[in-house]
Amino acid sequence: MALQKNPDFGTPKRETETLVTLEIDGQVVTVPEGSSVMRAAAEAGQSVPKLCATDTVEPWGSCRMCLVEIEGVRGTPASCTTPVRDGMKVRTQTERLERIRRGVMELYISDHPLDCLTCGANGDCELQDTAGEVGLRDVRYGYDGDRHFGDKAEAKDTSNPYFTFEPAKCIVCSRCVRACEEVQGTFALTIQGRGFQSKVSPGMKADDFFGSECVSCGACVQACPTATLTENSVLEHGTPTRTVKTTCAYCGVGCSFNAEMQGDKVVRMVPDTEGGANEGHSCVKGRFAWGYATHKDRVTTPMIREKITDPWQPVDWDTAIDFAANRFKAIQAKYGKGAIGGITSSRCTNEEVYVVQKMIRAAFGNNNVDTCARVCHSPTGYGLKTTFGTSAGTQNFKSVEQADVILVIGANPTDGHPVFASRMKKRLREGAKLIVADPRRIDLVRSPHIQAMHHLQLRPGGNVALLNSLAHVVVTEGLVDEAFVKERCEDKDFERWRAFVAEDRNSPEALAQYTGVDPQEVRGAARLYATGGNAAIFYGLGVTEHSQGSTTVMAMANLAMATGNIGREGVGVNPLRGQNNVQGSCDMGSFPHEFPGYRHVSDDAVRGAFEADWGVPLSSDPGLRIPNMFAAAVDGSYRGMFVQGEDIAQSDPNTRHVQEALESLECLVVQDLFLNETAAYAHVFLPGTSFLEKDGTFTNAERRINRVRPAMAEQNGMAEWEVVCRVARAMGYDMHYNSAAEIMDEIARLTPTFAGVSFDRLDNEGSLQWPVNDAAPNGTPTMHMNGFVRGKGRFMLTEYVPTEERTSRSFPLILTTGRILSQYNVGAQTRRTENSRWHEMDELEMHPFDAEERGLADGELISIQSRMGAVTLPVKISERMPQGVVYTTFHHPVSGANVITTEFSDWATNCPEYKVTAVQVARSNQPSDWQQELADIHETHYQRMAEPAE
Amino acid sequence: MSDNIKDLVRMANQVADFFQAYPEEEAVPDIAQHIRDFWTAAMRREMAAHLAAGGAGLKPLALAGLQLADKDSKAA
Repeated sequence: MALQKNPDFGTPKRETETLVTLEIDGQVVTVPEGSSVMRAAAEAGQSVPKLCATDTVEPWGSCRMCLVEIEGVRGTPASCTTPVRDGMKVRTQTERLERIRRGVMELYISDHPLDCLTCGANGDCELQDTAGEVGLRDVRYGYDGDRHFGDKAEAKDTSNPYFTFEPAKCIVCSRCVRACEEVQGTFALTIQGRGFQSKVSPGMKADDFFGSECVSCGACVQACPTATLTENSVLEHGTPTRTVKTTCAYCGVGCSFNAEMQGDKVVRMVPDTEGGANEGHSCVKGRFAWGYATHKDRVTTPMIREKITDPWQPVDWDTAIDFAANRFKAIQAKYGKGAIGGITSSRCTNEEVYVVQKMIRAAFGNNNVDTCARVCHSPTGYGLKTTFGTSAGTQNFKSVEQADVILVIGANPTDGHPVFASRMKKRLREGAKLIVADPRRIDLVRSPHIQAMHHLQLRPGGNVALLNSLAHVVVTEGLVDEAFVKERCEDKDFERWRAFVAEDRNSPEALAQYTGVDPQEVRGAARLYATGGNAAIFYGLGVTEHSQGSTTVMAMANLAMATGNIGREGVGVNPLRGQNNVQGSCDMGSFPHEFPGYRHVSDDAVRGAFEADWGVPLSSDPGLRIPNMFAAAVDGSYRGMFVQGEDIAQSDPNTRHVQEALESLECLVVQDLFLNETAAYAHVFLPGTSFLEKDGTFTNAERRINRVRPAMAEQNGMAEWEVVCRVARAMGYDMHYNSAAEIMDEIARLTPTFAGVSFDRLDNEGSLQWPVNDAAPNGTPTMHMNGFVRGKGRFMLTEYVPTEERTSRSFPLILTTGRILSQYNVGAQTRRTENSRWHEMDELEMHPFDAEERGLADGELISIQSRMGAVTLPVKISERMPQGVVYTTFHHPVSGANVITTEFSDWATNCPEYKVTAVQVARSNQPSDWQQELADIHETHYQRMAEPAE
Repeated sequence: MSDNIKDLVRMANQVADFFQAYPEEEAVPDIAQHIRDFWTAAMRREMAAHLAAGGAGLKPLALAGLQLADKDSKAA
């Protein structure tokens, strides 16, 4: 479509059912009470000129451009700060207003450079547009303003890799400052100086943008009405000419974006104000870190090789697909049908994931399909299905606007889910109370205008003990919502749970030996959660990646049910999903025991429906989970694997074991953008497509199904789902679709929760939150409103069972892992962007006391060793860490964080226990043995033969 | 004991640890159901052989649950 900009109504929409009717330029307009005259006028199609107003921030009333006349009101009030009243009569265009606006504009332009033709915002400048609108023809004050011209012009700040700050172009409208405060919530920007010396400043006087608190979310750039803050890509290429509406491929927030293009080149990604998940906001990854899609490392030609030490040989698609299929068939002939399987990707679309699991079930003839959710949110699926009846979060993100108490446990949203964190922080600034349960002092504990009322700084591994102690307080202090429980929950299970958590051994005092948290702090937090109004839980991998991950999810569900915090807006139990399509990949039947829609493979009726549709008998036996695949590979019973868009050699725990498993395979097929760490062990490389080339859907953490639309042609020449279909056909199973839309039609046909979903509906309606079916034809923003999906909610007993991973004299510290803002997961995407400037390497964070005890100075190289292995990293001394706990990220392969992590996993789902590893740390001066071996592998396993000449 | 069996024994004991909070008459069938729902036939066969060999390393509740799962699968 042609370039399509979101309309700007000048001031934010007000959410009330009370309406006000007024007259604007003779036209009758009805708008919500509290709306500004400016917004009412814009909604009526009578836009008022403006400079300091934009509808993502509250009105400011400084530019004096939006003046109007109101019958019975003296003077010319600013329409942005004047609320509508019933019966009001407004005139937006009179001779007097025209004269005043032109005069104001004349003053602005007297101190603004007039290099419009060569300006980066030429054609996309609100100042330019407004000067035109008000008919400015002359500037009586001259053009040599005090600070904007010639030698007086202040130098540009080009420190940020993604945008340029040109102070000379600034009209001091404060839109950027307000966007940083109100939209992003970072408060990095301010207006420094007075009068003509006023200018936007990032933090302290000496700071540039890169060195400041700025998190590069892009909200300021988007808000700027001039060329003061401009994307470098626009400066380099010029203004875009067409728009493609699509969805971000980073975290599980699933932000909607307008990809603004010139031909097939992305000029910029602009967050879509109509996007339900993000409502016009973005983070540094989605907004700016899309350059990996056209990075030189991208492999776009299929490749094969006999042995993993051979050089890669570029071939055509048919050769690569036949090679893979023949090897898979030979393995099955030799070792049996169950000797092959595959892994689906949470970075791929629902349609791409669906065809991979279908290929495995129908063409491979077994259920050996698993997905990367195994190593992140599989306990969410188990825990929420057991207690509530469905494997998904309960709310939409907007629901947080109704929360009065927010419990964040095992999540670091400002880094991992930044756009949701901004929504949450906005609600906190409005007065909601915050409880943080995390071993580290994450930013949410205390940051500008945010202060957690309770930071429950528990020991890694103590989640269940902490939640049981919170529940103990709720039960023993009479804080249970008895009416809710009686009406909505299984009585017998509740009474049993009530007796269980009421036992003294579950009191905060008794469990403090495991949690390490002051019992009074726990009691205060429990009382706040139970009595503070709408209480919402948001959690992440700090909950799930434990030996009791599933138990913790159920303990949170218990707490929410006991206090009646489920089934309406503002409450709920909400997983913050790591990758863009974790929810979707699970929905699509990626687990080895479930068909799409979370239905067990042993269910004859369900299996029968798939067999009838797919025309092939299907196995009723659960398949291998990822860790089982590795074990079976090592023992020789599993010999072939199809890996879609995941880098298991980097992301999965116990790296040496994973490497051994991959090395033992007779056929490993990797479908990816890059030759990642897993590809070192592959025999076939099938080039994939980036999100900018895909046609399909992603489902985010709020169950929102969003369209992903191709902005450019597939760089590899073939859609990923088509490649998979061809592999299936080469294996002897006829799988064929004409389009991704056809795949969704099949999903809808076979999956009750998706029954009402189609590309046509998504294109017309924007997005839909499942379930979408006869009972909920327009989707389900809030789950369990009139009863739980399973009927009545089920309280589960959540006995605290300490992990087997224990500290000892040899390994006295606990390592926990996580991510940071600028990098994403294994870093395959973000490491190939300028984001690496913020995080060039992984570091080990350590408390000053622990560092001093070992004689370590900040930045020194250290060896971190567990019973599984050792790696060398620089140490970062940080008071965010509690004593006895160290922390690292896993964004760089060379760091080898998972060389250290163990084989321990969640009892119900085998989700690895990434968050608890006993380690020792000591000074080092060289890479570990594993890191040296990795360097050798990079020398020997990635060689490529030259492509044949055309 | 092979590494595979060690893994399976650890997994089964973990499952039993969760269900130990329940009365035995509920815990045992729940453990058996968990094994049926999530373990592959090959894993169950390997465990059946281990049970036949005495089930070393298994906690009593895990043993009872696995025996029930094994009995049901043989009956099926």
